[in-house]
Amino acid sequence: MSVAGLLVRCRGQLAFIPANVARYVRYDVVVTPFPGTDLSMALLAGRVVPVISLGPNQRALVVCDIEGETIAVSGLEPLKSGIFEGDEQGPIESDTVIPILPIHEYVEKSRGQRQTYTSSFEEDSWLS
Amino acid sequence: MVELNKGAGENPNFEASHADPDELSSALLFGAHHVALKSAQQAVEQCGKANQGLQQCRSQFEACADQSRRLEVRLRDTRASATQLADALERIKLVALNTGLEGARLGESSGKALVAIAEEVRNLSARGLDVVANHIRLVEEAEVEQTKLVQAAELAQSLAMDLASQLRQTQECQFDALASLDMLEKAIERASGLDASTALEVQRVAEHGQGLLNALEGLSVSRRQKIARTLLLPAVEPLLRALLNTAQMDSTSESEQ
Repeated sequence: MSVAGLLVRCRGQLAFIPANVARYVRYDVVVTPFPGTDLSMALLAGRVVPVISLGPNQRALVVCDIEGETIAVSGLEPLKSGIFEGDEQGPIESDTVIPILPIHEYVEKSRGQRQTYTSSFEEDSWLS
Repeated sequence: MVELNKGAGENPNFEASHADPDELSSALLFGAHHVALKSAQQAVEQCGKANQGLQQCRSQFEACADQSRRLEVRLRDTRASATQLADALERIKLVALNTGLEGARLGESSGKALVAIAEEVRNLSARGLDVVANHIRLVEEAEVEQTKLVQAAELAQSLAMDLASQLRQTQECQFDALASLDMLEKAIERASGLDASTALEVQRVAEHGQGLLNALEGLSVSRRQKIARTLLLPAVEPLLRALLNTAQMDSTSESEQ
């Protein structure tokens, strides 16, 4: 069995992002943080895209498609892309299964933060 | 004919021909003064030449430092262009990554060729990046060496300046020594009543006379002294006569005074 996608290094560990999730990689994109949260945003092809930070390496931005929503992930070091030998758990490199990066979980966590941020923004009395 | 085996003390005329000890001392002083003067003049000349050499050294060190600074600019430019090259290779690597991702999304059957090309391009750009990183490292090392070179040239320049200043001081001391020697010459002239050129001639004659006496002493112990006397007398006799005449003239002029 073969798996298609992007091999990255995340906080020193190898990880895999399937090709149906990872869309493309960009370098040196200006990322602006949301104050009070771990979230950031970036302007990609004229669209504002939320950015989840997973590590200190901020040069590359992996743009993903999560259930039709464009989400960018920073803090990753892209290593290889293509079709790899592996199974449903991920590609196998040197007899080791490289785990799939749980981007969905990160997105879920960030959704909670985004909602908190938005509600605090809406409740701010002086804006109304 | 004057007998050579008679000592100076036995010949009254010869006794009269002896120079005044004060005059001889003055002549010796003049001789020493002459040697000191020549040495001081030579030292001044040598100092001047050394100073000129140092000036050339200084300008060479200055040129060296200038070249080194130009080299610094060249190295900086080289590093900048290598950085640009690394950036371009990074972009190629990124394109290869995205192409590989696109090929992977197309599936094994239709995207395999694209993935293979992307992998090759990615590998080549990675190798290029390694080479450029090595190149940048070498340039950085050269920059360190160049900085040391500039520092060494500047230090050498400053040392040459110090040395030139010391040489100038030495030259001034030598000029002082020359002036003192000039004063000394005048003082000896006043004290002895002799002028420098006469004193030097006297000293030279005294040296020659001493040499002649030494040679004659050597002959007196030789077994063949008779033959030597027979051969030498015709050569030495006019000299003795001249000396006796000079001594007689001196004593006559002294008695007239």
